[in-house]
Amino acid sequence: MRRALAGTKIIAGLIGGLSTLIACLLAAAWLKTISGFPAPAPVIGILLLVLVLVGLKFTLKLAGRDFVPTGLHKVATFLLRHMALFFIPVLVLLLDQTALLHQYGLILLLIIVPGTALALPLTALLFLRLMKKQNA
Amino acid sequence: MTALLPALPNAEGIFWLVLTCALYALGARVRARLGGSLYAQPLIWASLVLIIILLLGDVPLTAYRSGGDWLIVALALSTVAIGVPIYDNRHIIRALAKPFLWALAAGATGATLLAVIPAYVLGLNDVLVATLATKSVTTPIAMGLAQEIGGLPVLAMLIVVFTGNIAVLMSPLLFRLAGIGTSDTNDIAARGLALGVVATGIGTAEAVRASHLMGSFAGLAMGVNGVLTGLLLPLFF
Repeated sequence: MRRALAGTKIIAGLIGGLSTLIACLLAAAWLKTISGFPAPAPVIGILLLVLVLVGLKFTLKLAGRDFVPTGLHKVATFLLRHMALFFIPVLVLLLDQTALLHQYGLILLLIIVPGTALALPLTALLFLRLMKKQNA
Repeated sequence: MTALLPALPNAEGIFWLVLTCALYALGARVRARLGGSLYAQPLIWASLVLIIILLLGDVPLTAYRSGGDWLIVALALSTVAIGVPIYDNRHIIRALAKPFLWALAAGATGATLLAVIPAYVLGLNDVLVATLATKSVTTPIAMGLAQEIGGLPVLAMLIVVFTGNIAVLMSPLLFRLAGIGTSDTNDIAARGLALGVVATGIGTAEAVRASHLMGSFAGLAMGVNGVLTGLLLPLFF
């Protein structure tokens, strides 16, 4: 009985977590439509989610309770860990872009590869340099 | 975002949706068997197999997209989920705010300029330059951005995914050459930050696999970069 109750609680948490994400995305899309703000909806969604979490933490603190959104954590970690799956349909869209890739594929490759190879270590090195400066 | 949700998938769409997930799961299992080899990316191999199946079966892309587009909705949701590591690490962010934000801003600007300037010099048209400008923001954001600034959303997605894969494949060598290790906390943070900024979603997925700390930094960098670039880039086009 107790185990069944715990199970229900976990599932409720997961549904709650997923609903929170969906609600943030929908609210973001709605905000974007009514305001005409040029940022993409998922970006506004990230901001809304952080605001909601900070708001909840603050409210519950006033009520003297700790706030740990376990269900949301589980859902978010799962989605982020398996983000690669959601990219597959994007790569499949390559099929539709053969003409464009034929025309520009090589030049895009030549632009992207060296730039990426430079940006990756330089960003990391700059961070380390700035860290050293802050700690010194 | 024109329509928020695609139409409900038909039976064929559901078939492709399930097949995509199955191929990904298979790819993930093979990768685990191979000790997590970088070259056994489930994303690349599953996509390749799917493309071959679609080509051999002469399946129209619209049939695949009926199911596949729902995974792209999941991509938008998982982007919103980046808010969670940002919230979790708010204390670290506050403590490291200065070096973190400066390195992030410089890295993001650098990565964008390193794509836009050669494209401009090589005389690519405005649409392609605008598309390349979105190279280092996470895919769902890049798609929306490309739409906002007059690029090609699908090409933008492909470029981001390609950049991410290339960066992840080159990262062990590049970091070793730069003398950035895997044990020091600052080094781990630096790796995560660079992967999140330059390689976005695919880099973050890789960082999460490496360690929790690296994953948090990558997710955070990707999120903050996505938000900042998402807000600022439309002003330039």
